[in-house]
Amino acid sequence: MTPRESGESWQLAPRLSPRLIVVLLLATTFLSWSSHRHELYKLPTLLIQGVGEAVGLRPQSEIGPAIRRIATGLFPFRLDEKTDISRLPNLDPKHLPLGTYLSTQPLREFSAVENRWKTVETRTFLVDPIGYIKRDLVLMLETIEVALWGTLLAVVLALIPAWFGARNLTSNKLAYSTARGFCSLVRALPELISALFFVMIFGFGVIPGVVTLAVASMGFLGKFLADDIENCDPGPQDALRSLGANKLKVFRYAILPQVLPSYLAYLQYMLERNVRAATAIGVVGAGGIGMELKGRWDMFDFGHVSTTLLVIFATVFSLEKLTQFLRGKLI
Amino acid sequence: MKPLLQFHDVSKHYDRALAVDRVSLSIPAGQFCVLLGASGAGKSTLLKLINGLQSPTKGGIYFDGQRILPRTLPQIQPRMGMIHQSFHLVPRLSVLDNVLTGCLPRLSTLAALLGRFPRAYQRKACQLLACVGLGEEHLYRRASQLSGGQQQRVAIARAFLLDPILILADEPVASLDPTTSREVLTLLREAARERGATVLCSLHQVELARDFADRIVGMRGGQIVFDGPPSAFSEADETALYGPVFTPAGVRP
Repeated sequence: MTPRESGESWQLAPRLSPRLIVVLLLATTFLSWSSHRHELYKLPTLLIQGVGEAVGLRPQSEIGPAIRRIATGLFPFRLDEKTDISRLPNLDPKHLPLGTYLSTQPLREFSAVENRWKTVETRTFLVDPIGYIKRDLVLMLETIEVALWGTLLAVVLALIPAWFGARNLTSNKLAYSTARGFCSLVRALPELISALFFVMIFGFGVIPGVVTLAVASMGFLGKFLADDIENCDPGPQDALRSLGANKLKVFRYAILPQVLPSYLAYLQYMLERNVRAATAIGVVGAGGIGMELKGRWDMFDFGHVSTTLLVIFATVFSLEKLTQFLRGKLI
Repeated sequence: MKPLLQFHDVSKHYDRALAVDRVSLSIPAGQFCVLLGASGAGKSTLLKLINGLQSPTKGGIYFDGQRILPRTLPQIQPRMGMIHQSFHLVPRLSVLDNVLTGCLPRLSTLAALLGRFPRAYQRKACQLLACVGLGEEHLYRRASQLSGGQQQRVAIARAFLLDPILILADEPVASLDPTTSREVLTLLREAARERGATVLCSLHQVELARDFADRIVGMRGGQIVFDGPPSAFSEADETALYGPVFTPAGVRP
């Protein structure tokens, strides 16, 4: 029998290993090289100058004018909407829609010859004091619908790459690589770009938006679900397989109940994320509030831009609360 | 009596390792046969060869006169019930649904996907659950909320749902305390006797094997080294099964 060791002579590994030091050194070198390459070191200077101007220590700074322009433009929020009555042939001036009023304003033009503003004619507008909020809400609903349809399609369609991308369900190597490759490909494609393609194919509107989101979400959900299926406890699966249950039955009773909670969590995340993505892809013509946002921005209509941003923020925030509540109920 | 289960010179290799080595064995109907042996003796592999999760490298296994082959498995598997060491219940399904998964092979795939279990099976699941000592209050609880002993009872109910003529139990009490182990084994033996089912059960505890078995089959290194009634199983046989060859040098027992 060998004598029992006391543990006195055992080797202990150092906490800060030479390898870690080398890695940290390399990382620092890369970061400093990259920051010089892109003149990132200017950023603190610009910010300090801006703060200096704000508190009155400097007469002016490089970033001051732009910040002032945006800040004064964004506030106050513009909630009203004006429509030229010449564009409303069916309007009866005696029975205006509830809450609206007529307003007469001069239409001015800049005369380059006389170098001054001239009143060309007087026009009457129908003013709805909360007209723009209404418009934003309708467009926001459209965006949410795009996100909802995109997510719903993805939830169902993602089962296909998930099934073929899970090793314990698919032994065919070609099917496995195809499913995994598809998921990686559509995840690598930025949605703004794929939306451009789908707008070319389907034309402006909601349909290219739905397709864009469905394809992208399919990549995410398919990958996550496939990973979860692979990590599933094989015990219950073996138990059902040894009874003689086929693959679909094993999937339904031994795998699906195990992956369902995390699938619902992904779903919650995807829905939230798709509302944000639907806003972004609206900018390139895929329907919803994004198109409006881009239009107003291009016209330097910052008062309306800030209202729209506020509506988007409120929607994303309440959606997050709602999905969290639903998830608490379901799990 | 006609044997229910027959092994003809069966061997199974995993890559190079020999898990089951030229085993010939015949088990008559109605017997409660216990497999004894140290970990790695080949007990689990032997059971997996019967239920079709593994196929033998050499030799043939016959179940009720029919050879166990990939193409005969669909008819054979529903006539066997399986009980596992770690229960292998689906944790997030209810107790009732877990028992009902036992009838999946008899259900059409569509009905199974929609979760439409025939009323008769649901009724039978309730009877079996009552029979293994669970109550109505357990019916819709999640399997993961039950204690180990209760989970194994559910697993026994699941195994009996299709009236199998053979029950395979792979160390069914290894993760249970001694009292619960005895209760579960008693239950298993009673349930099998009532229904005339044969039981092939691997165990770790020699005393339990002595108390419950009709017959003990001892395995070591993939081979059968003892085969006889519990009364013939002596201290010497026990040493032969779990003997000191496996004790690593330098560690006091």
